[in-house]
Amino acid sequence: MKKYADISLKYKIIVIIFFSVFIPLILAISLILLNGSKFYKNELYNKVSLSAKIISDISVADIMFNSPDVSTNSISFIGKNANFLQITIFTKNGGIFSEYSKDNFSKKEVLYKNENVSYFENENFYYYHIIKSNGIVYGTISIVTSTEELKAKVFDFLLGTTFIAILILALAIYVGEKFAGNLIIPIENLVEKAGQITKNDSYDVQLQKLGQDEIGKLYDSLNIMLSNINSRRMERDAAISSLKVSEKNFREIFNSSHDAIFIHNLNKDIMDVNETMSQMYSIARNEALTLSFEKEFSSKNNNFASFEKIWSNVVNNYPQEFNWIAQKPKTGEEFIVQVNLKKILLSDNEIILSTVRDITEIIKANDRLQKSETKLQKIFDILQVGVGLLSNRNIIEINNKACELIGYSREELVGKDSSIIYKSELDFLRFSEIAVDEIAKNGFSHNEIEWVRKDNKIITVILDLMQLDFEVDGQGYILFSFLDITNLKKAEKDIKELNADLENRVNKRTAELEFANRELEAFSYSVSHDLRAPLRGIREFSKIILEDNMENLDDDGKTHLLKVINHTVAMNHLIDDLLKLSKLSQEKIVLENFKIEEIVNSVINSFNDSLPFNNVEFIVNCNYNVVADPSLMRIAITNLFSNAIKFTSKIKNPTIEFGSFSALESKEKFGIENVVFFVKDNGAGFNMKYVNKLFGAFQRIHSTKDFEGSGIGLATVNRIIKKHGGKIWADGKIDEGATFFFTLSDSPDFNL
Amino acid sequence: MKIKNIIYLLNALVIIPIYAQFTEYDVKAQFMERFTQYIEWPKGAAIYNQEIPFRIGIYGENNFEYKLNEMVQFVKIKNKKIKYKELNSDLLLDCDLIFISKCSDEELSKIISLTKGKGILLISDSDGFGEKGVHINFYKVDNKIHFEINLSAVKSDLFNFSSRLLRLARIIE
Repeated sequence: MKKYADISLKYKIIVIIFFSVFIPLILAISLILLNGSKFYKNELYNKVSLSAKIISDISVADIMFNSPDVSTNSISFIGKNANFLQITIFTKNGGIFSEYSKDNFSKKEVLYKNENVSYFENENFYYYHIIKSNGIVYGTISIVTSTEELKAKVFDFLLGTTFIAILILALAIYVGEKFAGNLIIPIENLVEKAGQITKNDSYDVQLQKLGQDEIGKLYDSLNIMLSNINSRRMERDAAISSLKVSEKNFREIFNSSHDAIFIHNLNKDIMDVNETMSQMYSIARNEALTLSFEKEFSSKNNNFASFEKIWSNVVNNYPQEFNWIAQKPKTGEEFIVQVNLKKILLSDNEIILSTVRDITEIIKANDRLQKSETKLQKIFDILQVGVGLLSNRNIIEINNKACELIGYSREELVGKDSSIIYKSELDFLRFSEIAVDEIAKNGFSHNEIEWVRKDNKIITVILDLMQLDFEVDGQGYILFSFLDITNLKKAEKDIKELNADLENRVNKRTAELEFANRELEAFSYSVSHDLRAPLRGIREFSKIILEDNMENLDDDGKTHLLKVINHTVAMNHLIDDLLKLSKLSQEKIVLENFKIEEIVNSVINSFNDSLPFNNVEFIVNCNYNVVADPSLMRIAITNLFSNAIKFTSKIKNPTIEFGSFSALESKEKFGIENVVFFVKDNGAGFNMKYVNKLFGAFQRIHSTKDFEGSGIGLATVNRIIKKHGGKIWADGKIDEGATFFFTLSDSPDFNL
Repeated sequence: MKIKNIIYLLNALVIIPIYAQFTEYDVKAQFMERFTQYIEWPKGAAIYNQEIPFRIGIYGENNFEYKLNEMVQFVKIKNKKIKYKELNSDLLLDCDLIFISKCSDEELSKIISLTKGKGILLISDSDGFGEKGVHINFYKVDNKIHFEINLSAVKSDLFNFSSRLLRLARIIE
């Protein structure tokens, strides 16, 4: 017989499940069967006892009022419906009060009993109950019922439970088989895999689990175990190889450090040095190991007492850093180093690690920096403008000139709020806002502002602010410089006042002058006017003398009188011209647009009319429209032509030309971008020495003997041209003719 | 409890032998006491006042005398002592139960109208009184005492009669 331990897990599980269902089932059924009959008996008892109690209750009144008929009706109704064999109500004397019997019941004598009692007898159940109300006994009720029904019920129950038990057992075996199958597959799988792993000695595999139950968890645990075994194996391999690498690396790091490294034991013996040390101290490693840091590698100028203290601190686990004067043992060359001492544990040995850094260059650089700062400070102080440094609102630094300008001492300003030199906090804030905006926009600000000196004097300064693009401790700095322009301001104000005064004076003088000019013009007009009458008198009377004394006067007398008359005529002309000139000053200009050529031709025609036998050749070569006063232009052109005619009177072929230059030509010739008109003759000409005198009134450059004239003509022309805003000038040479140029306005538009 | 038991014992000893004499009025007195066990008086009736004994009035001829005296001594109705008196028409309302023996129709209708709705139970033993409005009326058949109940009078006077009692009586609607 096979041992139980050798049976497959699957069958073990099925057997377990079968028995664990079968045993309680059998127990339960037996128990229920045992109790079943009792249960049904109780049920019967309860039913009969309830009926007895109900009947006894309703029978009290029946007995009380002596109504056996009603009682018989009642118990017959209950007896039929409850399927009782017999119901009897006894009076308390033992007599039958009423009774009911089932039809097929072989009626037996039912005994009277004066007690509550029940019992089974001959397949029947007997029940007695005393009829009682308010403690008074009225009689007894007896009920007889059959037990056949009870037996049938017990049998039915037994049948039912047996059927269900068989069903449950079959189900248990079925489920057990299924369940055992599912349970066993992963275990079999696991057994197989475990075998493979141990056989191959390869732990880098993972098992595929089939569910999340305990077996699934077992899979997980096995997987973790496998991967742990695998990773430990790899770690071990890696550790071995990395140990080798790290030893090599350590040596490399040790040697490649930029600092010289000494390894001392606690007794200050040098155990090892790196390559940088060899280079720094110019000594081979082997040699270095025989020397001492304190002696051969140090300058005599060090404080060796402090070194002892440092060393003992380091030994007590307080790392130390200090500066030291090192020395190359072979050359005795000294250099400054920073030394770092620290006790560490290396391969279970306590050692002192000394890292030594050459800081000679750094110290030198610091010196240079110091010097440069001193230099800057000196420049700062010697500057003849106020200069300083601001951080936020505070003055950080300020030069002497600035102190002098503001009237405070350096101590009173450095570290103080800069708003003290402003008129008010509000003023300061207002300016700050502007300055901050400008600095944000341009990187600097340039403003003219007013400050208050310590002695409360207000000064005006030009303040330049510039943001420095470095920060110290998160603070930004602003460089400021300023110039005191209070005096300049004052001077500027004085000049302005002076200018205003001057202008007033000029205006006043001009007014006076204009007044005088007008007076003069009025005077000259009235003089000219008043001169005419006596002059006419002289002329007329001279004529009369001449006519009346033709015979009496000799030729000389006649000639003299004729001269008087001619002079008066000339003077009359002179007066006319003067009148014209003075009138011209008062006349207003009336502008019109016309062709200048028309006026020129009309002037020429009038000359030809008055001098019919002249031999002057007129050339007109001009085709411009002008905006000008036509009558004044006529006067001007007439004057220019008469002037030309006058000065050509003594040559054989006189030619007078009226022409023009376009704006373009003029610019080339005269530097004037305007149309230039000219009147050119080939007459007597003039010496350019006197050109300035040409256009003054009564100025003459030729004697009256040669050319008659009042010397007012060109002055008149000049005045007319000036009135139009134009310009006039002349060019000429003696005996080679003269040319008079003029423009009519400053702007070329005027000449259209 | 003990006193109560003794009373019942005495009851059993005394009343049962008297029963044996079997007079008609003994049975009627016994029935009247048993009726009260199945009747609830209307709410607010004087019977609910525990200070007052249960008052029985006998109108007309009193044939109960011996039996009632005995009951006054040994029996309690509604857990109260019993008191009885013979009545004229003027004392009618001081009763919880009135037994009306022979009287004229006028007297009867006067009694009924006076006690109407006052919570007084009327019992009589004259033929036709049941129809006239008495709540319970005794009658005899083959020398056996029966009773009839005027259900409409019972209802209109707000008495509550147990069904156990009603099923034993002849009902007058």
